Amino acid sequence: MNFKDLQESWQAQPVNANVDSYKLSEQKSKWQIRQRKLLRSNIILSLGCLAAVITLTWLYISHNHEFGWPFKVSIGSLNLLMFIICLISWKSYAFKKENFEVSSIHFISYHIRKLNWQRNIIMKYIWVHTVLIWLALVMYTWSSHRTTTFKFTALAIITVYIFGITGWFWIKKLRKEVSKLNDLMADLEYMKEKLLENEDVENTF
Amino acid sequence: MLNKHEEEFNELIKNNHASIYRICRAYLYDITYADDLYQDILFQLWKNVQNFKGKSKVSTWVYRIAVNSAINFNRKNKNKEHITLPDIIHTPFEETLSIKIEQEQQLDKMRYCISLLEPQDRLIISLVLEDKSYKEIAEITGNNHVGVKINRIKGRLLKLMQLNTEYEF
Repeated sequence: MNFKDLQESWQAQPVNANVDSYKLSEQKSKWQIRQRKLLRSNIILSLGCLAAVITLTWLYISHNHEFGWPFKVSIGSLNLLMFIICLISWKSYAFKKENFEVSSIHFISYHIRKLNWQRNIIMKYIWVHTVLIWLALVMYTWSSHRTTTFKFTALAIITVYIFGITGWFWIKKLRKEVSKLNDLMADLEYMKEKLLENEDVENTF
Repeated sequence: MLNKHEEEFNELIKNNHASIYRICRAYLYDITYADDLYQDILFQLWKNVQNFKGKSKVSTWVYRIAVNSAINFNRKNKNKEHITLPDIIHTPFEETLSIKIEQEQQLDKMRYCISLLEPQDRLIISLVLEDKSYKEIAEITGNNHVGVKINRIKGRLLKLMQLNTEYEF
């Protein structure tokens, strides 16, 4: 037995590996699908907020002389909250359109930051926003010229509705979103790590 | 219609996929793990093909990526490190595998003997089996004193093959 024979039989072995080209483009498509969904939801959110602001402004113009400062503060806060949620949502969208195939480490880091923003919106800001909207509606309800019983009933309904909807949405949809975001971020972190490790290959040559 | 990046990548794979696959089979005895490593290497090549500046031969660059990926794959997947078969199953070519042709038996024996080497030695021997020169192997592995090591590893592999053949009889 000599090494030359071993070498020949080694080189003659059948090569049965499958090139799963789907896996190669999977990384790219997951992220692109996410971006498209986010763009769609941001546009719908912006249009919804615009409609709400127009309605609230009309309410203010029509009724501000009937109510005191809580009414004015509540309308103002609600408008401000609409504006803030739109701003935060668009901040989490990646506007840079660098070609994914030539993604650099900086570009990947940029996307990880954007995904982190999206995660923070779901985990933290949505609850802060819910509480602030609730407070604004509490002030609005309290400023109305109704009986105390009516006011407390309305407050109870508003509380159950707002926190119920947010809680239900969190359980049904948002937890899955957070899990998808975590997966995407892990994939991007892995790619970034690999790029950093292979940087020395090109530096050597 | 494929874009330039995809065309470059396809050309690269067409010319090198057999060598890359053989390196994976040398490095990881279990075929499913070797296939995972193979996919990992292809992904790295796909990511980096645009960054190749042409300062070295394409094949040297490809092997460098493959070797680097194999080392990192092993680091991340410690549980996929080859575990020596228990003595009762000393060789992988028992009578139950008699349906395999002689060449496949010889190959299987070779893969098993290679798997008994140290991880770094497996990479070096896979490059020797690919007919790479000492200089190229030194460039790929980043080790300038690889010449003496190569002879030692070749000797060890031949000895393991001989021991397994003696055991067979």
